[in-house]
Amino acid sequence: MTVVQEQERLQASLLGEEPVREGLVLGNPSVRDVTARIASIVESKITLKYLATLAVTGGMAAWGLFALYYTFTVGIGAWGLNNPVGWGWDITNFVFWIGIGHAGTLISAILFLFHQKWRTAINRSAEAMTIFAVICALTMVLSHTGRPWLFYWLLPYPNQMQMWVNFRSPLAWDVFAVNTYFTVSALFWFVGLIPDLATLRNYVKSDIAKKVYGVLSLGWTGSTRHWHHYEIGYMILAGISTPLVLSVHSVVSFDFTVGILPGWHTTIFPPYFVAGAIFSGFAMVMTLLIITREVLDLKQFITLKHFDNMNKIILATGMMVGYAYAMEMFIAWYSGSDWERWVFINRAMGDYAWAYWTMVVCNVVSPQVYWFKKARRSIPLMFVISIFVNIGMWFERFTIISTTLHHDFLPASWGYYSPTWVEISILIGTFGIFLSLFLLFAKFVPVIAIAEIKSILPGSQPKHHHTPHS
Amino acid sequence: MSTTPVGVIGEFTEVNAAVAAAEKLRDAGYRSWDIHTPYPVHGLDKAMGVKRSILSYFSFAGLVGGLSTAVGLQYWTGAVDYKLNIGGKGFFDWQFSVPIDFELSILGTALLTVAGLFHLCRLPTWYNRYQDDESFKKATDDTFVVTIDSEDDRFSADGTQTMLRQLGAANVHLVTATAE
Amino acid sequence: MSNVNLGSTPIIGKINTIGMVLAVVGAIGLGATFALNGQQRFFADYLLGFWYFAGISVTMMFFSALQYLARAGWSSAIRRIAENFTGMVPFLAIALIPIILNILSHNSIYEWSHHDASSDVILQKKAAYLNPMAFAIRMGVYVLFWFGMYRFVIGNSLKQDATGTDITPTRKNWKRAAPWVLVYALSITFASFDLLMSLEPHWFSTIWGVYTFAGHFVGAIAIVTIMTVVLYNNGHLRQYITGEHFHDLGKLMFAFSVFWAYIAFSQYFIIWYANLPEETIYFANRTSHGWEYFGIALVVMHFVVPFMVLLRQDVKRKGNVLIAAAIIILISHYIDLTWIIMPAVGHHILKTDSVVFGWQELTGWMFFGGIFLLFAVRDYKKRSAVAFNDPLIHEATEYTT
Repeated sequence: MTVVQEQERLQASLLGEEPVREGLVLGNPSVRDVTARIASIVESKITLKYLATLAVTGGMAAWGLFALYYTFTVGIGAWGLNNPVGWGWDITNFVFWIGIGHAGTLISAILFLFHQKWRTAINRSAEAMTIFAVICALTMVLSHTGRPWLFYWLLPYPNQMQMWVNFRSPLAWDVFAVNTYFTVSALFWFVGLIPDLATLRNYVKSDIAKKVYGVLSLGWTGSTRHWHHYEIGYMILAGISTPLVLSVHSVVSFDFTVGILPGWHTTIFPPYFVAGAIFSGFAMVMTLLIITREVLDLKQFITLKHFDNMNKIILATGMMVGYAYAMEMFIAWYSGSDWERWVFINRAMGDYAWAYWTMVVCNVVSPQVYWFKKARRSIPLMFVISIFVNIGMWFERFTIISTTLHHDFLPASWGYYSPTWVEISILIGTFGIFLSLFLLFAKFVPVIAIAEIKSILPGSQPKHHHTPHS
Repeated sequence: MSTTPVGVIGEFTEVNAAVAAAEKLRDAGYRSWDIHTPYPVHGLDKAMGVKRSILSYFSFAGLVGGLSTAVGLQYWTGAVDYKLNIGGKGFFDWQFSVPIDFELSILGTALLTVAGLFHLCRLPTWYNRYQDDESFKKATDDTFVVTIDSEDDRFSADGTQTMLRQLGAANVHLVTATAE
Repeated sequence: MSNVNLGSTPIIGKINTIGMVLAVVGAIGLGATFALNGQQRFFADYLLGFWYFAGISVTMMFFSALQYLARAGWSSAIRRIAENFTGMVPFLAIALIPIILNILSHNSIYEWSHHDASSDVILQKKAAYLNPMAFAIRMGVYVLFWFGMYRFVIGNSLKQDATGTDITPTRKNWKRAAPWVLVYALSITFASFDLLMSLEPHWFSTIWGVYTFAGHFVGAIAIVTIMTVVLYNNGHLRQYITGEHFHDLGKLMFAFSVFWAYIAFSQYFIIWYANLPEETIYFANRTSHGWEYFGIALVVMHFVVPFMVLLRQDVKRKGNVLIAAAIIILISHYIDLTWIIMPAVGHHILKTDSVVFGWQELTGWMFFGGIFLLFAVRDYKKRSAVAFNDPLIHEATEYTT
């Protein structure tokens, strides 16, 4: 059966009785087909279309870098920030990008631990996305310091000022959390890549490519003795990435919650931020994968079944953030505290009500279409929803930050914050950086974990049976 | 100029045959040998008689190292070297040390896990005695490649090849190195 | 694959005896508490026992629904073990009646139900929610929701036993498990607000629903684990349960003890750091006058010990270790609920800061624990101990990783 036929059969099956289990890889490829199919992307010629796209995203990145250069030379005053709103798009973007990364870790680590085999088709690109998103987040958080060339002041090192970092500050925790997250994600990704780089080393024809992949694959031979260590190492990395991903966004939420500002100080923030991060991250994976799958013709490996599962997770995490919005509102009323009550009324009906309702519509209302299987398998629809969710999650962070700050405890200093062209350019720039890196990745690195896909093909594993010891 | 044997290579394309062969080779007492596979084959390590990996001890050491660094750093800087009353919090409270304790524990674990993995797999090693053999290259594609080194006590150029053939391996051949 | 009825096996007989003894001793103890310590102490202990097992029973339904939602193949071998612990659910309304009547009497363990609540400014602002009638109506709604979930999710799972190769009931659960999960999430949240959080009527925490859910869920998994290992060790379900099931249950217990710790720490830490009086009072009462030992016990038993014990891979396949870890988790879930309920009742109702804890606190737990087990015994007598017609059962029996 060809891939097209199989797709049609799947589509047809939606109308009638569905199969109990759908295959994860279509067209029943052999192990060798998998190597050839994925490695051929790396071997293929660079097309004009690819270069043109890269030029556009590169241009966006350059424009953002120019805006950053402008910020650094003129000062943070180039942004629209002023009293009482001291955090604006900078921190919104930071939290947004850090959140995007979380889906990658979730797919690679948590779904791995739960034996969700469908993850193998998408984990590589999701992990890559994590790293690129964290790079964008680091860009934002460094630039908001105003003097990023003094970034090392954030680190505890003996210095002539005889001062130490204040470890009671959530901002110091952030430095550790984000850097740990970047390091561990990068290690996890690279360890996962080693066997595939070795496959490429033995597959590519050009001498230069052979050398590059040869060096990067570190001399991996596929030895069973090595796989034995490798599998345990991968399991440990997955095991520690799971609490890590929870901790990172929890620490980000501590930036808000450990203070006493109504709207920021609320106990549900840590799990709510994590759920929101996974939600937004899945939406971003979705956006990118829909395009990658079309452009690189990966329909055989990334099937509608994968999208169906991912849309279920988007629906579930969307409901979780909806639950958190509801809890915040209800408890604000239930608290009996006038300040709490007022901040939430202001959030829904004040100056930033447009942002709040954008958030609610995008994050809670729009994913509701995924209750229907047809919607979960409609590529155009899921593309639109994934963009909606991206927008909604950006607005979530913006709403949290601006509604609490713009009306502080002293009505005389109330204000309204809007960004300048510089801040808008920086956001565009981070998208440019993110997309450019992703394009480079999609061309030069196996976009699908070759060894992992092989290991789940039917008949690729020997038959044996375990019994418990008791 | 003379050629010396460095080992014998055989190919399997069927996974159950590879596992069965591994068990036979293990029971025959071979020690310096391996099966190179394109993906991790469940249970093949056991069939080969590979001992349990000690990698998790590296990870544990990383955890302990990371955690003690975090606690030590925060305690010493906050409560010993640079005492400052901030927000009425203690100079060192376990509560506020948790985020960094946690992050550095994870970081230490990850770094030592990867370092341990590289050490145990001897990565990077940009040389392998079989690297120019065409069969050997198939191990990253779709073939389970058995290699038996000449250092093995039971190795004999002919006997080992015969055994591999009997086990069902295809394309069994001797790999030699040329010395000047 | 065929019907496995364990109703007449010695192990179910043993559980029946344990259930009887617990229920009778618990009932006598509850009566003694009422007579010796007054109705308020009695109701505190009644609530403790009731919510411990009611929360777990309802969460067992969630566990089952979740397996359908995720179309998990591996768990079809053990899903029925969870489902056979949901027998209490249709009868929860009966157990709630004494609590509701007590609240309507204006002298309950809930301060907001007292007559003098009208002179409390903060309670006045919440009176639209915290009043006896609204409380009774909400309880009715939760009970209806839970009964509906029981009829649908558990009902379809049982129907599958009879329909054989026609998998319509399972398909219904696959399709409709999600709305029931939503119903579960909202009902367990608001029930925990009503039954537990409102014991401290001024206090509030947005994470509360997640916190109590985490405790119930890990408790439910611990009970499923014990039952799975016990049945296996007694020679039952051997063709269904593999080492992977032990391993996965161990993983779930591990993961959700850590999850509980994460949620508990988040709540504690945010309140500790901000140090706002109206919030800190909750932890101030619970970390002084002897209650701090309960808090320390929670950290150790609900997190550190399960974490250390279940960290290693090979250990999660050893039945005895799993049982030990599960028992520790169940004890710590008990300590958790005690630490939530008793300081509140002590502080607001019995007007004492010191530790209110004695044999009395075990009586409610024993009574409802006995009933919980007796319902399970009834279910094992009535039906198969495994969902033998589940369309994914072959994935469970051939389950290797």
